Amino acid sequence: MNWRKILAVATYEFRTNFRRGGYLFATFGLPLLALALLGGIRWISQRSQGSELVTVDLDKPIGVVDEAHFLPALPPEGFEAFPTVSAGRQALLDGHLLALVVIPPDYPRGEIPLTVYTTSGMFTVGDVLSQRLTFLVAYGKARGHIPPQAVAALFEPPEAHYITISTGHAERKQTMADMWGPYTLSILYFMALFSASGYLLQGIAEEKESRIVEVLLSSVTAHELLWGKMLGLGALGLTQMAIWVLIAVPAVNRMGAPIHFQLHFTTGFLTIAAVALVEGFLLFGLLMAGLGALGNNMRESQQFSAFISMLAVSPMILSTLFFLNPNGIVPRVMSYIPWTAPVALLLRLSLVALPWWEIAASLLSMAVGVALSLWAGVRLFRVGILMFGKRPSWKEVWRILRQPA
Amino acid sequence: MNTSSLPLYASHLTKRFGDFVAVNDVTLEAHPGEIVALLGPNGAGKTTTIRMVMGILFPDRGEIRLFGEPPHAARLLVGYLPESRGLYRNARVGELLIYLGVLKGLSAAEASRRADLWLERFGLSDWKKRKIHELSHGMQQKVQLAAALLHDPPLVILDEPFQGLDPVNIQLVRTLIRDLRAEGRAVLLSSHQLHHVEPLADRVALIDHGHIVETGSVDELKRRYAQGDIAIRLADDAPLPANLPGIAHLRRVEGEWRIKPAPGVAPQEVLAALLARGLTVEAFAVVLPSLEEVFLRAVAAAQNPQKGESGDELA
Repeated sequence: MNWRKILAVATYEFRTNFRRGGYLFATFGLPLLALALLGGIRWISQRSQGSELVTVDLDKPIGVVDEAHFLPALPPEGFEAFPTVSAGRQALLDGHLLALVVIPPDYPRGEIPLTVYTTSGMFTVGDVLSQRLTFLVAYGKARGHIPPQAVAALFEPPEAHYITISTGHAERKQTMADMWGPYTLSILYFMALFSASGYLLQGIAEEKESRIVEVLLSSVTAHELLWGKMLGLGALGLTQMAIWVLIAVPAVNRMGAPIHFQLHFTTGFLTIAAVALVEGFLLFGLLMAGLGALGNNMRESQQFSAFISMLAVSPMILSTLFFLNPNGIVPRVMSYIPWTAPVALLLRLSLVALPWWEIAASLLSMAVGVALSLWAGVRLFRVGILMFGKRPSWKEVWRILRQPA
Repeated sequence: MNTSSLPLYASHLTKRFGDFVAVNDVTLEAHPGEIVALLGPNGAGKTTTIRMVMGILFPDRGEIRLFGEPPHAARLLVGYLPESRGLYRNARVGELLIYLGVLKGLSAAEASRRADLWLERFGLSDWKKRKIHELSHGMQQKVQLAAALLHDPPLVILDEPFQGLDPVNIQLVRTLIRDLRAEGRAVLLSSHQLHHVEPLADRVALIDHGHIVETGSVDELKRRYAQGDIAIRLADDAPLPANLPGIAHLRRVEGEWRIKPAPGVAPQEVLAALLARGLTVEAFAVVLPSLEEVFLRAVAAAQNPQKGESGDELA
């Protein structure tokens, strides 16, 4: 094979497809859309509160208006007594309080609920407020018989690390940001993989339909043409991923910080993702190219490659099973089937830690799949690219596969 | 010139698609500075033969050498205009020519320079930055010709070069092909429109149902398949005498008399008989068949050798 020609094909494919409207939108438009969405959420928050959105300081005191004389004379630490509701509301509006609690006169009889005023909405401060109100009520019921510090200690949230475990699997400390990053990347990876192999299929169908392929084959061999396309469009997919990860993700993190939407990646995950991306593109690209070459137009090419597309998309369709139990039988089996493994592996890695041998076995199964795709894709492409006017039957496809490469 | 170093040497090519024999024992060669035409109706095997010569299809039997090399090793020496025309619809003319030039081994800068020259020659300089789909059919065909010739190939293969062209562009392509010959290039062209090729080709190979049925120079073939008819025009549109000897058949065609002499009678004897009667002969010529007529007679002769050789009357 002539590498100069392969590079010429790759460069042309990269340049022409990079300028496609669909690619530009997916690469730059989607991150911009995500940023716009996050910006929109910020804007709506600001409008609804009539003030600039700031991080809520959960350490501020809670104001108490005790109309029932429910509490002992002194409010416990973290609370501040107010003589009237209006005085408490003013302090809350002035930003001195996290919330204002009014204990109505009949509260001790258990018939009337507490009234709680906030400026940031119950969802923002709900968990913290609920916990501190529980403490306040327990303190009131103790009527000073138990020291306030002892009551507070009962409601102090214990320090904890959350660890996901399962039989025979690795353990990993995890935060939400640790999960969102890889999960988002899995979806982006899936999109990059399919946009690149989609362009490959589209390009081949267009070349067959316009018949320019005969001009190309008078200058390059079918193998050189195929590998040039694979190289150019593979680079296109990697570029898309790189733009998303290096530019868009930090921007999303910056914009998403106030509403707790963060994307974190580990070097290990990014390394595995890079290997899976290359293997995944070879797996699908080679088969898409081979099957796409059999059709006479885009519609026929898509019909030939529909089965492969369905296989690849199946982990996303069954993603609920991955969420419910990432180490369940279906997610695990999908990690070892070459054409479902790329997406399945990254989805599982985003949810749980996997032992090294499972990752290695999944990557190995993809490598075996790459060899099979290479065997079939090259044969189908070489013969199919020059078949005009007649759509081959599956029997003929099998005959082509048995021919020497 | 040794056949092994000819621009094109194809020997006993056979190609089957399943049970169908598309090309059967075809032999072809082209010399530098020569236009060779592969002529025949649609489906005769012309394009399959050319695809084998280009190395796009592999023959089941036979040998192909381009400048002494197998086709895949001589790709850079060949300019090819396929029958199935096509270009990237959304590509810009200049960029596409540069890409195809680079695939033919040129540097991008050199491909760009040559693209400019060819576009100027075809009157398409103003269209360099336009997209292919904005061009007319004829313009696209010129771009394809430019792509085929950009790398200055010593062998040019044109499959149906006149297909879909208007008379002005047919003339332009004819001139171009003659120029290629004058520059010393070997040209192989195929066509089912024999009249377009007749004034161009130095040698023709007539192909039907995958077989070469006749080969030779246009003049040779015409004389070989001439049936001895004589065209005569007399002064003042005078009628031919009724008792003129040695005439087997007589008819009037576009103001001329068409005479078929009796077997064994030479044209000169007919002329002598006319002059002996004091008639003034304004025009006297032996009628040569058109290339289409040659083709039909050659096919008929190939299908039924005895009948064909006796020289059937054409409809």
